[in-house]
Amino acid sequence: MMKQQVCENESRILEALGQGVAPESLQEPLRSHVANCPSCVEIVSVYRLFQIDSQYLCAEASVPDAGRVWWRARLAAHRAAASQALRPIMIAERFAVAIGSGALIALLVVALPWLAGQMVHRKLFSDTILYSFSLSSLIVSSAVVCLLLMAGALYALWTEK
Amino acid sequence: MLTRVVALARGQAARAEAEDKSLAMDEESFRTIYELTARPLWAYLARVSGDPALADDLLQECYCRFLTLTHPPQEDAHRKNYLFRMATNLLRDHWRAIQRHGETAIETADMPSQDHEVTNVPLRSDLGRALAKLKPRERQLLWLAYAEGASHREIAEASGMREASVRPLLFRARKKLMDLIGGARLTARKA
Repeated sequence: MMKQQVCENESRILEALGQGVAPESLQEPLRSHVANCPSCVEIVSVYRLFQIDSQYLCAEASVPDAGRVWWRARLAAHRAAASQALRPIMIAERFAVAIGSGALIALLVVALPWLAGQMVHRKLFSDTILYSFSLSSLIVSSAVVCLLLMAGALYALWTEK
Repeated sequence: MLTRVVALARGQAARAEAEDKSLAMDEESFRTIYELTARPLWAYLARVSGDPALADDLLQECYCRFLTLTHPPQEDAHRKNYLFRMATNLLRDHWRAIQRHGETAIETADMPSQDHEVTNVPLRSDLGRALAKLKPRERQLLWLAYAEGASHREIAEASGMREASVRPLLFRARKKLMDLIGGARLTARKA
């Protein structure tokens, strides 16, 4: 059996059919070609099948209302615009959190050896106990306040997201 | 400085909302375009994906993206091609997402569709069943060529393949479809 080849006229025939020209109304020599070429006969019958199916599906399709799609697109666009506009605030917030964390870490690094030293001094010089205790408690309470503020900032960021 | 940044950003957000420049066209223009193109696009998505619910979702996503374009195509034909290309890309993204989750491959595996067709129309039913047995890319090619009457160049643009590859692939897909339809009719006649 001879193997069927891709017909050179396929795109021309499809173009004509796409313009609504019936196979019988095609211009010569295309019309006689379609009548004799097995590949083109097949194209015409497949085309008809698809047209019927397409018309049926288009008639049966229950597409969403245009207003609904419009509203959804508008909402998405607003969200995108708002998120873009608020980006500098987000960056500033992250920057502030980073600075705060860095300051806290630096404070702890500097204060801990000093605190340890103060404890030793407190043992050696009992007369300065009151002064050492008040200073160290001030530093510790500052650190606790910083930690609480950090936690609050992180919570605020998380809730915003 | 921070207060200036905040004020600037809030001002931009308020302006964006007030001016509503975010969408490419007004509602009436969109409605006209939608009425012309939504049904053929839905039919394409439904036939290629085989899932009407997915076709609904992708159709809405497609128009949402279209509306947010900075310069949407103005000519009808160009607009239609653009929408079909977007729909094809969305389908491809959807299948890639499925593939990432360890399900069937896009190009190689058969993705039988859930055929929701009315079975009391034999001609349509034959085509629906036969298409369901083809690969998604074959369904795309066939639908664009024979249901939408797209040229090889338009099919190449929509499906992201080379124009020269369209003709042989379309030919093979058509042969496969005809074999399936012929086989189905033969079985029906025997029954």
